[in-house]
Order: sequence, then structure tokens, then C-alpha cells
Amino acid sequence: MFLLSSKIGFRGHLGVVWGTFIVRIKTISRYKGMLFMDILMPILFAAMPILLGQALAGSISAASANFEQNTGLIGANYVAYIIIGANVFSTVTTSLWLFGFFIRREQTLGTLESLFMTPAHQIAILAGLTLYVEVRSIITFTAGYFFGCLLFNINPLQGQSGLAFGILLIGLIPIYGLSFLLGALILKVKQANSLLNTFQWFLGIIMGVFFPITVLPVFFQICAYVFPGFWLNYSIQAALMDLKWFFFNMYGHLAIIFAFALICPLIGYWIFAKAEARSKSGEGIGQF
Amino acid sequence: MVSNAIIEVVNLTKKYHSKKRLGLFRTQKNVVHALKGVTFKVEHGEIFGLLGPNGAGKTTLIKILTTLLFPTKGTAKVNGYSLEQDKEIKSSIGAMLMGERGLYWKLTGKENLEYFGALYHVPKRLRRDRIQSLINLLELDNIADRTVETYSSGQKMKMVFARALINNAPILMLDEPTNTLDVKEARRLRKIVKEQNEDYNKTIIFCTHLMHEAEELCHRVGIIDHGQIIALDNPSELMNNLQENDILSIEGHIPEKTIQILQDLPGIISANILTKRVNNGSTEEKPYLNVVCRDSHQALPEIITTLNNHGAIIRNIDKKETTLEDVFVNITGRSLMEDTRQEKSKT
Repeated sequence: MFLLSSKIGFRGHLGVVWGTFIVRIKTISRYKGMLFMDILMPILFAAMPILLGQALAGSISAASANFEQNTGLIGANYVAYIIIGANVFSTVTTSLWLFGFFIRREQTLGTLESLFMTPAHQIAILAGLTLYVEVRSIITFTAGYFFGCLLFNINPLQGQSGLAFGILLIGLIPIYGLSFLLGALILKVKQANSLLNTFQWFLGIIMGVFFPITVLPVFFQICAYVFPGFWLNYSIQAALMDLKWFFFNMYGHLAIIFAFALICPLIGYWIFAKAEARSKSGEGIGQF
Repeated sequence: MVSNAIIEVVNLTKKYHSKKRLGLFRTQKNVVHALKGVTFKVEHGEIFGLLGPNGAGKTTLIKILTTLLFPTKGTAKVNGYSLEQDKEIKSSIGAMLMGERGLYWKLTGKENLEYFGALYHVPKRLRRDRIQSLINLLELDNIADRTVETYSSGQKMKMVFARALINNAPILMLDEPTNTLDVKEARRLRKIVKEQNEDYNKTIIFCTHLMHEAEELCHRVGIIDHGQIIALDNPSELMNNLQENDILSIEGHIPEKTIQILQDLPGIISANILTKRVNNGSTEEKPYLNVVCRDSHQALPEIITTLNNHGAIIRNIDKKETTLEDVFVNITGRSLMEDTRQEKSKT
């Protein structure tokens, strides 16, 4: 007989993290087209402004020179800049979609209530989900970046690749924090598609995907500074293209990313827990 | 008297706001009183039935006891834990809610059980054996390795039931577990529920709107209606209380207008048109006139005369055995089956 125990040890929580990760991996393995789409989308997304630049300036080198001159980013190859930006944007929005959509999908399937009926801690479930999103993001970012660079004849290993990889690993953590926040909003308003769609294109502008945020009006620049996605994107662009660091130096950027990585998940989870409690006081978290 | 209660519910009340749509943009806020001061105890090792029509508050009650919902007022203890101790309560319960929903469609049945086993912290070395024994118990071996999306409703229901048993909890909360199961499978599931109670001494809350299930399985039954427990006792006591009266079942063509006239006759307690299953194993139902009276021998001639005078065509008259349905009708003046059907047609 299984003995009832409410005292769950570290191994028990680890089992939940691992179980959630494996379930997600198994599920995505049964939707093979999604991984293919994740890799292809940022390349297609980047191709449009790259080809537009070429069409306007006459050639890629002329477009690149214009880009350098108009943005002040000395040494920036606009093709590489856009490919990196598109891949980071795709990774960030995928992370937001995965969490936000996760909540909504589980709600409609009825599995959200099933999860909440188990004694598993939400943090362990979210950690398993985060691990899956991180692995998926890194695979699709790396594949998308390399294919994009090869397609547009750019050396993918220029600059500090290791540093860029490290920034990606840490810089995605605050994005997950924001996605918990988005999850809380979806529990409340139950409109994942419209919320996420609106949010992601606004983020696209303030992240500086195709252009540095210095070209934006002041209000949008301020929005960008408080959004971790901007720091993630620009830091990877700076590391891979040896651009001038925006805030002092590399360490300044790393400090900001670390600070976001500490604060955002805490705030996100806190707000999510509040939304959960509010739902339980009403019709319940499974009501859709 | 020393109480051996494993579940104690005291004055549980649940209110929430819901929106009523009035055309395209206008909405109206309504307060729904899902539970109105529900109080009861479930003894250790008991099968406690919650019998009531759809929308009576059964699921809300179970959701509160599984800590999925907070009550507006009142308290409850499950396995000695108060509702704030949600992790401990969740570890004590195996629950089946929301019918066939709550499974991952892109995973196989076995993978679902494996995952929920992990979520319930069932040690890995035990998990595999437990899953296999559940697959054998519920005869799921030919579907366990197929993805859930390929299952029929009944198969999903059985898999959800297996999920409720995965943590071998001392308490089972089963909300309409035989919904969507065919007659044979429903009977088999009820047998397993009984075995879980008799062989493993599990305490079970069994919600149903089917009176025969409650009669067959439950040691005690709480009849719930409009968020209130309106009767609570063992099924035989509930029925015995009614047995001082006689119940007549009259089949045939009965005009609506005769019901009020019958109710006004001396010695008649109630007269209602109810429905019952056609006795050939099908799901077809036929209406009949249910008359509760003090003494059927005395009242019958008057009943027959009244019916004949008002154009009724009588095909058959039976003196009925009392059922929980009669108990429900006697208390509420409505039929359980009728209520459930109306609720279903609304949704």
C-alpha cells in the first residue's frame, strides 16, 4: 500500500519538474510541424526588412552603410542585426505564447483543474514548463540563427558567441516572469489570443528588433528600458556584432539582466498567485 | 457519541457572480448562490451519496472539498485538515471531476497515468506497478498505449477514474463517474467503487443524479437541491419515512388538468407526472402519473372515477415500491429525472 505523506521531499518536487518537462517534450514530438515553424518563422520574418533594405538602397552593402550612418551603430551589419533581432523576438514571443497559451489550453481541456487537484507545487510545475520552454527556445534560436546567417551569407560565429549564449540563457528568465504575469491576466480576462497578439507586436517595436530604439519617440524608449526583452535583444546583438554596449559596458548589461531575472519571476508568480486566489473565490480556475 | 468523521462540513456557503448576456454588448451581473449553508459529516469507511439534479450544487461542494474553490462562508475538514491545508487535503483525495475532461489528449493513457502519478508524488518504483494494476482492474490494456484523442467518451471516463485511483488515497470523491458509460460498464464501475470501499476501506463521496446508483451503493445519502441538503439519512430510512403513505403509478393518457383536481381530493398527498425508463434495457422513457396517498385502497375508486370523468385513458395501475426518486418528489414536488433533463436542455 502506498503510504500517504504530505511531506514532500526534494526528490518529489524534482519528479514533478522532470515529469512536466517530459510530458511537454512528448507532446511537441507529436506536433512536429511546430518545431519546423519555430525555426522557419524568424528567418521569414527577417527576410522581409532585409530584402526591403536591399531594394531601397540598391544592394545589401549600400543598405548596411545607410543603416550604420542613420542609426549610429558603428560596425553594425544590418542583415546580422535583423537576423539576431528576429530570432530573439521569436524566442521571446514563443515563450510568452507558450505560458499564456498553456494556461488557456489547460483551462479549456480541463487539465488545469486536474493539475490544481494534485498536491504538486505550482512552482515545480512551472519550473518543468520553464525548463521545456528554455530548451525549445535555445534549440530553435540556435537553428534559426545559423540557418538565417547561412542563407544571407553571414558568418554565424562572429563576435562573442559564448557570451551571447549565456545572455540568452539568463535573459529568458525574466521573460518567463512576465509570462506568469500574462498567465494571470489570461485567468482573469480569458482572451489569450487577442491579448498575446497585441502584446507581442508592441514588444516587437520596443525590443529594437529591426532598428535600435534610439529612433523611437521618447515614450517608447522609456517603455523599452523597463522591458527585459530589449536588454536581452540588444545584449545579444552587441555580443555577436561587437557593438558599443548601451549601458556602460558588458557588465552593466549583465547586471541589468540579472536584476530582471531575479525580480520578474517573483513579481510574475506573486501576481499569478493573487489571480489564482481570486479565481478560486469566484467561479474557479477551470471556468472558461 | 464518538464521531469517526473523516469529512466534516459546517455551514458551507458559496456565492459567486456570473454574467447574464443581454444581446450584443449588454451584460447583467447575477449573484449565484451555489451552496446555502451545507452541513454534514462523512464517517470513515462510508460511501456517502450526494443525490441531486444537475445544478443542485454537488460539483461546487466537491470543488470546495478538493480546494479548487474557496467557500464564501463556512468551514470544512477533510481527513483532519482544514481547507487552508490544501496540499495535505490534495494528498488525501483521489478525485474525479468534470467527467471525461482533464486528460492530455496527445499523450497515451499510460503516459497520462505516469504523469499524474508523478504529480501525486507516487514513488517511481511503485508507480509502474500501480499503473499496470489499474489497467488490469479497469480492463484498459487494449487502449492504454493509444493517445487519448482516439478514445471514446466511455474509455476517457474509465481513464479518468484510473487517474483518481493513482495515488491510492484514503478518500475518493467521484462526481457523476458513470456519465457516458454504457449500462454494462457503469455496472462494472460501481462494482469497483464498492470494492474500493469494502476491500480497501476507502471513504467515498459519490455524486450522482441517478437514484438507483445511490440506492445501490451508498450507506448514507444527502439529497441536495438548490444548494441545500434537504434530506440526509441512509437510503432505506429515507424511503421508510415515506412508506407510511402509498404510492400509485398510473400509466396511460392523463390530461394535465386532472393533476390539480386529483391533488384536491381527500387523502391525496401529491400527484405529479413523472417519467420512467421503459423496462426493456433501452434508454427510452415514458410518462406516468405518480400519486402519493394515505390509503390507496380507499383513494383508488375516487382516483379512477376522477380520471375517467376528465378524459383520461388508464392502461395500468401499480402500487409502487418507494424509491429515492419518490423521496425527492415528496420533498421538492419535482422529479429528479425531469430536473436533470431540463438542466441538460438548458446547457
